[in-house]
Amino acid sequence: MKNPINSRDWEALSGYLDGQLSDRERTRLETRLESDPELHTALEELRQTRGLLQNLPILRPPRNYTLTPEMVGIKREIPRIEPVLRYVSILAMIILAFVAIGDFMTPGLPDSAPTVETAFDIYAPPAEFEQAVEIDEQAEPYPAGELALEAPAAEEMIEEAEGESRAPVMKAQVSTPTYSPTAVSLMPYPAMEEDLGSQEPIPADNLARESVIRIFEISLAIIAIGAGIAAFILRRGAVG
Amino acid sequence: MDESGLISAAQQGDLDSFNRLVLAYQELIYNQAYRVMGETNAADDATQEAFIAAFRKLNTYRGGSFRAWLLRIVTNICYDELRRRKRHPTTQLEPLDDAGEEIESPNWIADPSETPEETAERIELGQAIQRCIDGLPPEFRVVVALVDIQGLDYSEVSEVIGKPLGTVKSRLARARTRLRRCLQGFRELLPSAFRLEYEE
Repeated sequence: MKNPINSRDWEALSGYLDGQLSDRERTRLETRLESDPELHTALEELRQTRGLLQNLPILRPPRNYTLTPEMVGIKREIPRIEPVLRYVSILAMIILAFVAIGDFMTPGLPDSAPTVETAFDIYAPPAEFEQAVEIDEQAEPYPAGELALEAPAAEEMIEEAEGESRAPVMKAQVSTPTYSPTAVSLMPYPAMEEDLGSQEPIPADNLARESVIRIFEISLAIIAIGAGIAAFILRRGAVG
Repeated sequence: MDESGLISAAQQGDLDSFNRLVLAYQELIYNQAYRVMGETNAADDATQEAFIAAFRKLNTYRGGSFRAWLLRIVTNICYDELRRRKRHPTTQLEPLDDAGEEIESPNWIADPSETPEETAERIELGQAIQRCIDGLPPEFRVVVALVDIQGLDYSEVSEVIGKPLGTVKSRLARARTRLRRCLQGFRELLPSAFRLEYEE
């Protein structure tokens, strides 16, 4: 009578399917399989079971399992330059504030150049010109016969009057009113110089100083804003 | 970069390198988790948890099969979850959709080359086999999934479960024997499957 299949036999059959038996174990099992149909049937059933498992479909994962820094508690390091940029921004703002206040409170520089109206006032035609125009307008037309004799004298009078007044009129038209005090000071017309006599000429040093201060202020503003934005972006990038 | 290079970079904290390893192994880990847990949601959670744990424990990896190391992590996570469920039992045989309804034919196992009848038959057989696997003790499930489904050899399985080769052989034999008996209860599904098997 043949022994029933026990757990040791099942283990041997399972190992036999996977080629895990030693030569001696395999030979002994194969001998038994030839003479024991029940054991042979068990082997085939086990082989079929294994085949079913091996043919199971590989499942596609429903999503990717890649990790984010938050999942594993990683905080990106904030670059060392970030606090430097922050302090540079603050410092630039403070210096800018002091420079701007100092600039505002320092006397000496004119607040503004002459206005357009002032400039035109300066170039207003002199009284002689007005008188000449009045004379011209008041002059009655001469009869044709008299004109030949008297006209040269009248023309001379008009030309004389106009000759004196034309130059300033032309200058007033040609020279565009300007906000630059330099331009004003360079005007050659005597009357204008007389009008401006009360204003002191602005030294070139003051103008240069003002330009330097403006450039300095703009630079400080750019540094303050730029460094602040850079620090913000770096910090935001590190947190994100 | 090869696997060892990616592992070294990941050990230095390079998450991108680790994520490349994740993409390479996520199918393996997910399938192992699914075969042990028997449901997609639990497999999903276990897989994610396994990769997080792997990244955190990466400095404990001392060479050898990285695949086996990952499988060991996911296996332990599955054991923990099964133990927790044993203490707080719940019943869920089928995956659930967004409305909480059971999905009888999840689309992730659909194969467009099959006829609807073939798909239904395969799904039914697949579900039958999975139910039989679910009926095994967790230690047997792990071994049979590793050897017969994932295709690992005995020594690698020994590394995964941290037990000697003899234990692997014994658990595998007992798992297959129980599955053979269980599958006889689904005999009406088996002939076509076996016919396909023999035709190959």
